[in-house]
Amino acid sequence: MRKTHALIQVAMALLDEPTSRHWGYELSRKAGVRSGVMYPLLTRLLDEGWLTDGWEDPNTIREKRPPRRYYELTDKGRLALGALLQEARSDARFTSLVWRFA
Amino acid sequence: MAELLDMVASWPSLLLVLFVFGFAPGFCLRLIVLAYPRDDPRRAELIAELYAVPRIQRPLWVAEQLEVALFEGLARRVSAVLRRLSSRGRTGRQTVGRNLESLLTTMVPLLGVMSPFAMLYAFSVGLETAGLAFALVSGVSCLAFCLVYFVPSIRRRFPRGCRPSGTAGSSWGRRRL
Repeated sequence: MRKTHALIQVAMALLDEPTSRHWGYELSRKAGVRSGVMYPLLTRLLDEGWLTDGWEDPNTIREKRPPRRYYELTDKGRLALGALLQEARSDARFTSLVWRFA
Repeated sequence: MAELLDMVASWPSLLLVLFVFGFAPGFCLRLIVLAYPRDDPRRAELIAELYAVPRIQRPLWVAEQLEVALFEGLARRVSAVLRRLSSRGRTGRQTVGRNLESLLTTMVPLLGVMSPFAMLYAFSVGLETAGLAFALVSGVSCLAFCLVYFVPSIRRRFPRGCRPSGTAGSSWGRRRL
């Protein structure tokens, strides 16, 4: 997968909480990636098998709204995104981004 | 060009844009997601996500989805149609019907996505001849939307091969051969 600023930002946001569920809008805010870029990127990550998706249980929703789609990192995804961030650390293009990620 | 800029920058246009995207973002989004193929989970996902977006940010967020839907959703639809057409070498009434259906399900969402903008244009030019033409286009696309919604449900009710009683030997029966 081609390394882009958006991918690195999303990888950082996902690995910040590697075992929890991530929601599209919250993830885009956390990663600082606009939603027009975020959703195609999530689709690519799903296609790679780095993420799995699911739908919120309608019984747990209190407000009047449809169930939302969530994303979870797979083991493969954790390894791949971790490796991606390691590579990004040594890449001059991403130094301004990756220094935030410990 | 200057006239066009004046038109875009005019107060009525601005108010109408704010009204359509600001007070009816759900409506706009529901039109926009039709650009995605019918079985694409993004349709339901985006509608559900809208409720998580703060109201003040919704117009911009919906506009972003329009951008993605035009480039991603329609591209996927067109490629699906092309794939279907290339894999089907047969000719005949059934093929023509299916090709027409494929074409409609591809073009109609595009028209539908354009319809709010067409209406905006129509209002901003004071419903002159060009504006009326655009309003007509948007009306037709809205009608086409209804067809896209209702045709699948009608087809589900009368699935292929389902023959009403008393039609033995009619075109219903022959089509199956």
